[in-house]
Amino acid sequence: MWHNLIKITLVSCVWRRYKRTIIALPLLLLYFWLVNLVHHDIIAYATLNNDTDWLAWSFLFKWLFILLGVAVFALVHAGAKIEGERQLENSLKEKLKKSEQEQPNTVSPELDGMFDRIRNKKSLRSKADIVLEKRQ
Amino acid sequence: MKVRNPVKVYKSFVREKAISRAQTRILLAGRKADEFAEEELEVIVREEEDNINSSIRQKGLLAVLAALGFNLFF
Repeated sequence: MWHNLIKITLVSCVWRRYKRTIIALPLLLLYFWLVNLVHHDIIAYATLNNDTDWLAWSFLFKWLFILLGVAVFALVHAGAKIEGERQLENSLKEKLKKSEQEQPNTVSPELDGMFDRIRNKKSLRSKADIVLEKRQ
Repeated sequence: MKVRNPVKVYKSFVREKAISRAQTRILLAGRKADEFAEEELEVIVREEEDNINSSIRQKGLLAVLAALGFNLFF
Protein backbone atom coordinates (compact mmCIF):
# COMPACT_ATOMS: atom_id res chain seq x y z
CA MET A 1 0.00 0.00 0.00
CA TRP A 2 2.76 2.42 1.03
CA HIS A 3 4.68 1.47 -2.06
CA ASN A 4 1.78 2.48 -4.28
CA LEU A 5 1.17 5.65 -2.30
CA ILE A 6 4.81 6.68 -2.70
CA LYS A 7 4.61 5.85 -6.40
CA ILE A 8 1.50 7.99 -6.89
CA THR A 9 2.99 10.90 -4.93
CA LEU A 10 6.20 10.72 -6.93
CA VAL A 11 4.39 10.57 -10.25
CA SER A 12 2.10 13.47 -9.33
CA CYS A 13 5.10 15.52 -8.16
CA VAL A 14 6.97 14.87 -11.40
CA TRP A 15 3.82 15.56 -13.42
CA ARG A 16 3.13 18.86 -11.66
CA ARG A 17 6.69 20.03 -12.01
CA TYR A 18 7.50 18.83 -15.52
CA LYS A 19 4.01 18.78 -17.05
CA ARG A 20 4.93 21.15 -19.86
CA THR A 21 8.15 19.27 -20.71
CA ILE A 22 6.44 15.87 -20.57
CA ILE A 23 3.85 17.04 -23.09
CA ALA A 24 6.16 19.16 -25.23
CA LEU A 25 9.01 16.67 -25.66
CA PRO A 26 7.04 13.87 -27.39
CA LEU A 27 5.37 16.54 -29.52
CA LEU A 28 8.80 17.87 -30.53
CA LEU A 29 9.98 14.35 -31.40
CA LEU A 30 6.80 13.76 -33.40
CA TYR A 31 7.43 17.02 -35.23
CA PHE A 32 11.01 15.95 -36.04
CA TRP A 33 9.72 12.61 -37.28
CA LEU A 34 7.16 14.34 -39.50
CA VAL A 35 9.75 16.74 -40.94
CA ASN A 36 12.02 13.79 -41.63
CA LEU A 37 9.18 11.85 -43.25
CA VAL A 38 8.31 14.74 -45.56
CA HIS A 39 11.99 15.18 -46.41
CA HIS A 40 12.32 11.49 -47.29
CA ASP A 41 9.23 11.71 -49.47
CA ILE A 42 10.67 14.70 -51.30
CA ILE A 43 13.95 12.83 -51.87
CA ALA A 44 12.08 9.77 -53.14
CA TYR A 45 9.99 11.91 -55.50
CA ALA A 46 13.09 13.75 -56.79
CA THR A 47 15.00 10.52 -57.45
CA LEU A 48 12.03 8.98 -59.22
CA ASN A 49 11.76 12.02 -61.50
CA ASN A 50 15.55 12.35 -61.87
CA ASP A 51 15.19 15.97 -60.85
CA THR A 52 17.78 16.56 -58.13
CA ASP A 53 18.53 20.24 -58.84
CA TRP A 54 16.57 21.58 -55.91
CA LEU A 55 17.45 18.77 -53.47
CA ALA A 56 19.82 21.08 -51.57
CA TRP A 57 16.86 23.35 -50.80
CA SER A 58 15.03 20.39 -49.34
CA PHE A 59 17.89 19.74 -46.93
CA LEU A 60 18.08 23.41 -46.06
CA PHE A 61 14.34 23.59 -45.36
CA LYS A 62 14.49 20.38 -43.33
CA TRP A 63 17.10 21.88 -41.00
CA LEU A 64 15.29 25.21 -40.91
CA PHE A 65 12.10 23.48 -39.78
CA ILE A 66 14.03 21.43 -37.21
CA LEU A 67 15.64 24.61 -35.82
CA LEU A 68 12.23 26.28 -35.79
CA GLY A 69 10.87 23.37 -33.75
CA VAL A 70 13.74 23.66 -31.29
CA ALA A 71 13.18 27.43 -31.03
CA VAL A 72 9.46 26.97 -30.32
CA PHE A 73 10.30 24.31 -27.73
CA ALA A 74 12.78 26.66 -26.07
CA LEU A 75 10.19 29.47 -26.12
CA VAL A 76 7.60 27.23 -24.48
CA HIS A 77 10.13 26.43 -21.77
CA ALA A 78 11.07 30.06 -21.32
CA GLY A 79 7.36 30.86 -20.96
CA ALA A 80 6.99 28.21 -18.28
CA LYS A 81 10.03 29.53 -16.48
CA ILE A 82 8.78 33.12 -16.60
CA GLU A 83 5.39 31.98 -15.31
CA GLY A 84 7.04 30.09 -12.45
CA GLU A 85 9.24 33.04 -11.60
CA ARG A 86 6.21 35.36 -11.64
CA GLN A 87 4.39 33.08 -9.22
CA LEU A 88 7.41 32.96 -6.95
CA GLU A 89 7.76 36.73 -7.18
CA ASN A 90 4.10 37.22 -6.25
CA SER A 91 4.37 34.93 -3.26
CA LEU A 92 7.56 36.71 -2.22
CA LYS A 93 5.86 40.10 -2.53
CA GLU A 94 3.04 38.88 -0.32
CA LYS A 95 5.55 37.63 2.23
CA LEU A 96 7.41 40.93 2.10
CA LYS A 97 4.19 42.89 2.57
CA LYS A 98 3.30 40.77 5.58
CA SER A 99 6.73 41.16 7.14
CA GLU A 100 6.66 44.91 6.48
CA GLN A 101 3.29 45.17 8.16
CA GLU A 102 4.62 43.25 11.15
CA GLN A 103 7.87 45.16 11.40
CA PRO A 104 8.94 48.49 9.93
CA ASN A 105 11.54 48.23 7.20
CA THR A 106 14.98 48.13 8.77
CA VAL A 107 17.29 47.25 5.89
CA SER A 108 20.71 48.33 6.91
CA PRO A 109 23.26 49.68 4.45
CA GLU A 110 25.62 47.20 6.09
CA LEU A 111 23.72 44.34 4.45
CA ASP A 112 24.28 45.70 0.97
CA GLY A 113 27.93 46.02 1.83
CA MET A 114 28.07 42.41 2.95
CA PHE A 115 26.53 41.16 -0.30
CA ASP A 116 28.85 43.47 -2.24
CA ARG A 117 31.85 41.98 -0.51
CA ILE A 118 30.55 38.48 -1.29
CA ARG A 119 29.91 39.56 -4.88
CA ASN A 120 33.50 40.75 -5.30
CA LYS A 121 35.22 37.77 -3.70
CA LYS A 122 37.20 35.60 -6.09
CA SER A 123 36.01 32.32 -4.56
CA LEU A 124 33.59 31.68 -1.74
CA ARG A 125 34.38 29.47 1.23
CA SER A 126 32.26 26.49 2.12
CA LYS A 127 31.31 25.59 5.68
CA ALA A 128 34.17 23.08 5.77
CA ASP A 129 36.66 25.73 4.60
CA ILE A 130 35.59 28.07 7.39
CA VAL A 131 35.83 25.32 10.02
CA LEU A 132 39.30 24.38 8.78
CA GLU A 133 40.39 28.03 8.78
CA LYS A 134 39.24 28.44 12.37
CA ARG A 135 41.10 25.32 13.48
CA GLN A 136 44.43 26.53 12.09
CA MET B 1 33.62 47.50 -28.35
CA LYS B 2 34.99 46.07 -25.13
CA VAL B 3 35.17 42.27 -25.09
CA ARG B 4 34.81 40.73 -21.65
CA ASN B 5 36.38 37.47 -20.62
CA PRO B 6 33.57 34.87 -21.01
CA VAL B 7 34.77 32.91 -17.96
CA LYS B 8 34.49 36.06 -15.84
CA VAL B 9 31.09 36.87 -17.33
CA TYR B 10 29.89 33.34 -16.53
CA LYS B 11 31.26 33.47 -12.99
CA SER B 12 29.71 36.84 -12.27
CA PHE B 13 26.39 35.66 -13.74
CA VAL B 14 26.42 32.59 -11.49
CA ARG B 15 27.44 34.68 -8.45
CA GLU B 16 24.64 37.18 -9.06
CA LYS B 17 22.10 34.41 -9.49
CA ALA B 18 23.39 32.69 -6.34
CA ILE B 19 23.07 35.91 -4.32
CA SER B 20 19.50 36.47 -5.46
CA ARG B 21 18.66 32.81 -4.74
CA ALA B 22 20.24 33.12 -1.30
CA GLN B 23 18.17 36.23 -0.59
CA THR B 24 15.02 34.39 -1.70
CA ARG B 25 15.91 31.39 0.44
CA ILE B 26 16.42 33.58 3.49
CA LEU B 27 13.09 35.31 2.87
CA LEU B 28 11.27 32.01 2.41
CA ALA B 29 12.73 30.79 5.69
CA GLY B 30 11.06 33.79 7.32
CA ARG B 31 14.37 35.34 8.33
CA LYS B 32 16.11 38.55 7.44
CA ALA B 33 19.49 38.70 5.77
CA ASP B 34 20.87 41.14 8.36
CA GLU B 35 20.34 38.49 11.05
CA PHE B 36 23.21 36.55 9.51
CA ALA B 37 26.93 37.10 9.79
CA GLU B 38 28.94 37.64 6.64
CA GLU B 39 30.49 34.19 6.96
CA GLU B 40 27.06 32.57 7.15
CA LEU B 41 25.86 34.51 4.12
CA GLU B 42 28.99 33.44 2.29
CA VAL B 43 28.25 29.78 3.04
CA ILE B 44 24.65 30.14 1.83
CA VAL B 45 25.73 31.88 -1.38
CA ARG B 46 28.43 29.25 -1.93
CA GLU B 47 25.88 26.47 -1.55
CA GLU B 48 23.55 28.14 -4.06
CA GLU B 49 26.47 28.66 -6.43
CA ASP B 50 27.30 24.95 -6.25
CA ASN B 51 23.65 24.10 -6.92
CA ILE B 52 23.55 26.38 -9.97
CA ASN B 53 26.80 24.96 -11.34
CA SER B 54 25.66 21.37 -10.91
CA SER B 55 22.31 22.08 -12.55
CA ILE B 56 24.08 23.76 -15.49
CA ARG B 57 26.36 20.73 -15.79
CA GLN B 58 23.36 18.41 -15.68
CA LYS B 59 21.60 20.42 -18.38
CA GLY B 60 24.74 20.29 -20.54
CA LEU B 61 24.84 16.51 -20.20
CA LEU B 62 21.17 16.33 -21.16
CA ALA B 63 21.87 18.47 -24.22
CA VAL B 64 24.69 16.12 -25.26
CA LEU B 65 22.42 13.12 -24.75
CA ALA B 66 19.70 14.82 -26.76
CA ALA B 67 22.16 15.52 -29.57
CA LEU B 68 23.24 11.86 -29.55
CA GLY B 69 19.60 10.85 -29.54
CA PHE B 70 18.94 12.98 -32.60
CA ASN B 71 21.86 11.28 -34.34
CA LEU B 72 20.36 7.90 -33.55
CA PHE B 73 16.95 9.09 -34.61
CA PHE B 74 17.82 10.39 -38.04
